[in-house]
Amino acid sequence: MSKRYGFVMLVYRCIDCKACQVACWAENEVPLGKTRNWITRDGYRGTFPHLSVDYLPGNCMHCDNAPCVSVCPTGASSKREDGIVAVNYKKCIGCKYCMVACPYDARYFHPEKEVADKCTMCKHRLAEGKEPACVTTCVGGARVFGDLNDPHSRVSKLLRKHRHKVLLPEQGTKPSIYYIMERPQEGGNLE
Amino acid sequence: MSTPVSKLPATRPEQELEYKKVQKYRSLIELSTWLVPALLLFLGIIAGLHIVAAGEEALGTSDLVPWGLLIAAYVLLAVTCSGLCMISSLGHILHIRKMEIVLQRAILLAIIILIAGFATLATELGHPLRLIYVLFSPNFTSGIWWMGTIYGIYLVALVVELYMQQTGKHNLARIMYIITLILAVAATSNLGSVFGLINARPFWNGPYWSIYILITAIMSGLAVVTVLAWLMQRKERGYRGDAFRSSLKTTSKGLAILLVLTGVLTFWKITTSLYGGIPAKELATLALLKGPLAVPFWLFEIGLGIVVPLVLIIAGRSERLNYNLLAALSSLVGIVFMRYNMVIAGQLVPAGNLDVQQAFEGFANYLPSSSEILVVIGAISFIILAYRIGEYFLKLD
Amino acid sequence: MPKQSHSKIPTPQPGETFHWNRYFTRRQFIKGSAAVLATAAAAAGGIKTGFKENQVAYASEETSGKTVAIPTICENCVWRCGAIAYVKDGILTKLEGNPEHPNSRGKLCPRGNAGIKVLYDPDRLQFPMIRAGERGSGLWRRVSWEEALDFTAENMQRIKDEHGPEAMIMSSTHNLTQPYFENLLNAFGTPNYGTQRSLCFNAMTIAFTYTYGIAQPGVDYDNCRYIIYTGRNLAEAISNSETQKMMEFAARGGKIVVLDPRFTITASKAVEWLPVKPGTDLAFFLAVNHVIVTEELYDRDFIEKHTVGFEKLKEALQSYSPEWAAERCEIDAGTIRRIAREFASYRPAAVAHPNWRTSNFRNSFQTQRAIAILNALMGNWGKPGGLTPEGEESGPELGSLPQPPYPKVRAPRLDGVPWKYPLVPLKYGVIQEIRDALLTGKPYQGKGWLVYRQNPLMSIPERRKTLTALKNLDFLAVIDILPNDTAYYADVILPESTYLERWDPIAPAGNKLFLRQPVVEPLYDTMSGLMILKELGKRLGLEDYFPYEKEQDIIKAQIAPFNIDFDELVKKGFYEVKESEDHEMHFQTKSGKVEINSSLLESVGEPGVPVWQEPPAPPEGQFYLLTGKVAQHSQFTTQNNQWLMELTPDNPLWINAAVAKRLGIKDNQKVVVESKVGKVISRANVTEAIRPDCVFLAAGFGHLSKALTIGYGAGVSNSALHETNTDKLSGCQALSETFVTVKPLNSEEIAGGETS
Ligand SMILES: Nc1nc2c(c(=O)[nH]1)N[C@H]1C(S)=C(S)[C@@H](COP(=O)(O)OP(=O)(O)OC[C@H]3O[C@@H](n4cnc5c(=O)[nH]c(N)nc54)[C@H](O)[C@@H]3O)O[C@H]1N2
Ligand SMILES: Nc1nc2c(c(=O)[nH]1)N[C@H]1C(S)=C(S)[C@@H](COP(=O)(O)OP(=O)(O)OC[C@H]3O[C@@H](n4cnc5c(=O)[nH]c(N)nc54)[C@H](O)[C@@H]3O)O[C@H]1N2
Ligand code: SF4
Ligand code: SF4
Ligand code: SF4
Ligand code: SF4
Ligand code: SF4
Ligand SMILES: [Mo]
Repeated sequence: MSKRYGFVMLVYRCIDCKACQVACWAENEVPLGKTRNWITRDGYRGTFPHLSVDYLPGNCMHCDNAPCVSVCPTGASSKREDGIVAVNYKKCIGCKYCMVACPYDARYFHPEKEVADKCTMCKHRLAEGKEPACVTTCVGGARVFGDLNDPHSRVSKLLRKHRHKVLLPEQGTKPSIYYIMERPQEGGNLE
Repeated sequence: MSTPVSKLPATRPEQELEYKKVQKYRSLIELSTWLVPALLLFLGIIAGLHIVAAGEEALGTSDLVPWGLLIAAYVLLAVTCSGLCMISSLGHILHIRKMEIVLQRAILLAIIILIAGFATLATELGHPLRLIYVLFSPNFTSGIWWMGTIYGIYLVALVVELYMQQTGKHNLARIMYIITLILAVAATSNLGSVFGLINARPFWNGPYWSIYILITAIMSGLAVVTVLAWLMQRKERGYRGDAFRSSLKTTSKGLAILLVLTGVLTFWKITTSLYGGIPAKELATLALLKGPLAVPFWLFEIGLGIVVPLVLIIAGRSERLNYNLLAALSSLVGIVFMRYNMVIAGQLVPAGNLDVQQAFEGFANYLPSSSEILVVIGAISFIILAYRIGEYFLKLD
Repeated sequence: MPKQSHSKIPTPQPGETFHWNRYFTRRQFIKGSAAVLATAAAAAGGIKTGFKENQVAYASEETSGKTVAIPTICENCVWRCGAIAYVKDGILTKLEGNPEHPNSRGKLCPRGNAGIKVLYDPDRLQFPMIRAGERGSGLWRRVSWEEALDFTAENMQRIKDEHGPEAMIMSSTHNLTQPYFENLLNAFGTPNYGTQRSLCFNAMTIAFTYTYGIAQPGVDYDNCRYIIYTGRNLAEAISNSETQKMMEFAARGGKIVVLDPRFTITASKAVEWLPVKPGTDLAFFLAVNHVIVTEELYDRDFIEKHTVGFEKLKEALQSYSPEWAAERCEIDAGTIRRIAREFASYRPAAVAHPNWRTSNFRNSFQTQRAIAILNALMGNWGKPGGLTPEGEESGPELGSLPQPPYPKVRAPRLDGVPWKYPLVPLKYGVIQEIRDALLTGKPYQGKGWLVYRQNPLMSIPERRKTLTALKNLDFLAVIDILPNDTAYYADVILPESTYLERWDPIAPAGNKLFLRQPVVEPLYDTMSGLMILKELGKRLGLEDYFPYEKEQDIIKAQIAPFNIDFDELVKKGFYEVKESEDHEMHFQTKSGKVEINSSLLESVGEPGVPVWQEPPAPPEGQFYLLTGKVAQHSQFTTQNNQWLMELTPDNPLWINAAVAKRLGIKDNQKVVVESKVGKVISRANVTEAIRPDCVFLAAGFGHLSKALTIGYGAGVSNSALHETNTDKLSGCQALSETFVTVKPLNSEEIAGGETS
């Protein structure tokens, strides 16, 4: 079976340090003021002193049913065999339709290349057998990456073992990023 | 241009002097009607070049609000163009003689307006060739591809139509009227679908905008034709002048009907958005009602766009020509903001707010940059200039 | 398009006078791409590609367009993670964690990742300079290294000749070259050594030293089951490997309890967050110890074999019941009792974490003692899941270069160690006392100050005082990489090469020896700390203390005992030493045992076991002012880092939502924060995540240096508000003992601005 890359985010493990963001900026020469990935905070739940909070790491969801791909007039945005939604800079005319159409605000306009840009899953690193930069540096260990089609991959195992969700399921985008919201039980395990 | 002095009736010397003064004054005005748009067009071109060179920095848009004034202006111009055509083609096909009289002018104007529209779009894209590239790398699931392609074909069809008229091939021209009418309807509703197909922007999502844009296209077409007719009746005397005056009254009546229709549509759009229970839709509507777009919405879109023209037309019982003119102009200003509000409101609510769990953290910001505004002013100036040149060189009657 | 416009203003030539505020006029934009960095750097100072010294690593790949990987060590904080630098044609493009390094474990924190922007910070110190106007006027003259070094040495010598060597203060914060800084200090003959420690961890390190003989023991996270953190915010005050391990521990279902008046990110990961009343952690731990002792939940065997003074503790704890504590620390007595029992049930895999910046209250030292003792009661020392007996600077014994003995010190220390602070180690000192001695002239007047890798103007409380003290000096020299605040008021600035451009002495980590080496050639006219110190030593007639010609000589001497090939070390970046595994239960205390009752404390007339010490509390209408770290910044250093500033551009004042409502303060609104010693105008962050009697300002912001084009004007300084309160036992500054009023800003006050 072909590969289908994706992320599993262990939300509990994200400490909102944003190392992933800086690593991505460096790795992908993301222009200043732009970002391919992010951490969102739902806001504190509860009132003092009964509080909880979650930090959700995110980046392009590499949707299986990607609106950015279907709206792109030139086919610059495309879904690859391995699950990566890629942008072909040469074909992109900078119409920003994909940016308007992405429900996750995952794209930004590259001011120098004048094209729409976003997370590439660090496909150049994958080619070298490395994990994406944001995953490699993730201090909290929240970002897990792998082949969703491989039943032995860590992502597959995590998804089998834990309840998970995707963001904005009602948009019908079928994202390749899954979120595990569970907190570890005492003596239990988030692995 | 001004009438040669020699052709004027003989007058007394002081009268002569007075007349010369007035004449000089008039020709100055006349001259400025060329110079001012030319100057504004020049500024628009400079601003456009600045946008092309500096890119994003020269625009007020951001990653949260990727589409700004230039896209709104494109929508405005493209829709006005097809509205104009629909009116004139309808007039022709249905043999409404009062309308036929402005037909050729309307076609010319439509061509010019569409070119201006494409020019603004190309400026936004930062590269004119990028617009054409779309044709060579098609993606058939893309709303923009269809919209772009149909408008492209439409432009060609319009030019052909004008050519036929100019060369007196009236039978062929008649066929072209039907073709362009079909294309106009297709292009316009397609433009609506560019917005309607976007799930991520619930304010846009659905068939509403296709219908809305179609209706308001006719409205803007009528408004432009009204202005055109008013200008013509000032110039022409006798039978033709009367014809223009009478068509002016008819289009104003039509305009009034469409204004009411648009008002009703807007009312229900707002009501359903507020009651729908879809947060992003509701918030976008609130952005219009009492958020960052409240002034453009209440003052311009509703006030100048609908209420004022309606009042003027009704007050003048569509008989008073100057009232009609003012109504048409006022509604045209309103239409500019109608387009602007539609494009911007859909984007002001950050997409993250689709997630009901997430707290709303405030509207995104968008204010058009001076370059964007200048480009739009330049585009309108271009339309005026090009039209006048066309009028000068072509036989439009 | 945002272009790097810095290069348009020509770099001053040697001898030329310039003004910071003109030279560095506006915010700089650098594009993300390496190519632009290259042009920017080249334009600003002339970048050189290729390497002379480091041929082995990638001589053959010079300018080949290929990326080379060079192992080195991060220096964006004191954790010193092993890093791998990716360099393409002489341009640093990426920093990654070195998987071989136990401190990074293949990952870098946000600050480590942003190291690129340290190297390419356009505001960096690019050449030596001497003040050309008033102190702090921003007027400078670019000078040659010769002139700068001569000038510095002459002034130091003059002060020595006129006032004695002790009139010269030398201070430095934790760094790899510190041993040679101490060489300069000791050889020069001044006892006045300022470190950051009294503002940081004195309470903890001294408490643990006097209890176990080890300053900063670690935690065996792999086997631990239960950890109590007391104001230790590992998720934000990042210690890379430990932060990682904490999250692994937590994900495994390990139990975390956090005592912090704020709902920190660490607290959000905890099973239990106890929003303790500031300064009363001592009451909590006394009560926990009370429960464990009275219910006999402790490790009897360990207590009998390895400790002294248990009986005294038992006696002292009698009155500290959970009910007693609850009244003070505002944690429910039932909770205290339950936690004590639960905690003990996991022993020895239960740890009360030693924490880190324990400079909160004057009683913090006693709190730390109570914590140290709680661990002893658990008998967790060296046991699986317990405290690991690795000190702050453990690791294999390195080789060294021969040098003469130091001259005898002839004067007492300005900071009162040990005459006023008998328990504070000489290497720690009490830096805020040095500042005060400069103002009082007692016991004598300090005249000069050499600051190395430190920003005392920002880190010491009561900034206004520090500024006055600095301005009163005869001579102030700063060795730094950035035009930071202290440098801004200096007489001479000696620019060090950044950690990405220089060699430093070996850094042991675990059983490995790691090497910091340049990954690019110095971009500007800068030098390594080692060479600057040597050159100063040479000019002061102290050359014998710097027996090296170049930095590598030191490294070669350090690795000499291990039979490592230098070139191989350069290539690999580290060397693994065979470790002898012995965890013998011997404690470097006076008694050789764990001192539950401290003989040393008794010897200075203090009770040998911890007793309750009531902390001050804010009067009605005032708040505790808390301080601490954010994950995206390091101390007072990174507020000019483009990337980090994009993530965290300022430090709003945290204020409890209910309180804010009462005071009529809305989120984001400007507020006036005022203490006895200062006033700042901040922006409110109205939040549920803090106790109603506290407000919080993150450290690092509110710089005075106008030469920091990004950092200047961002956020506010809490050092401007902090009062100086020093614990007489540990010398520890009490950073939470400042009380402030907060009110919405009204228009009259806008003119006032920040007072320092
Ligand atoms: N209000 C408040 N005050 C505090 C704290 C707090 O949380 N709040 N924290 C306290 C703590 S825990 C500490 S440890 C102290 C720290 O206090 P300091 O040590 O005074 O502060 P740093 O910001 O670490 O200063 C480091 C200086 O070294 C420079 N530098 C960085 N890298 C290099 C280099 O490679 N070479 C050279 N020569 N210079 C370099 C930086 O530019 C900066 O000027 O502050 C204490 N003070
Ligand atoms: N990102 C980042 N990481 C760093 C550093 C950095 O500058 N940036 N600096 C490093 C250094 S030098 C140090 S010393 C460490 C510091 O590491 P920590 O000691 O973990 O961190 P701080 O943020 O200084 O302070 C921690 C907490 O103490 C709380 N606090 C204040 N008063 C009290 C009190 O009375 N009782 C209790 N229980 N809590 C209280 C504050 O709310 C704050 O959340 O971090 C290290 N790591
Ligand atoms: S997240 Fe957005 S950009 Fe990414 S694939 Fe989905 S729709 Fe496209
Ligand atoms: S901006 Fe580029 S990628 Fe996005 S829709 Fe337009 S052409 Fe496609
Ligand atoms: S996968 Fe690569 S491109 Fe995508 S967010 Fe992570 S680091 Fe950035
Ligand atoms: S690096 Fe990991 S832990 Fe840190 S913010 Fe990113 S996802 Fe969260
Ligand atoms: S913890 Fe972060 S800043 Fe400190 S040394 Fe490690 S990577 Fe560098
Ligand atoms: Mo510290």
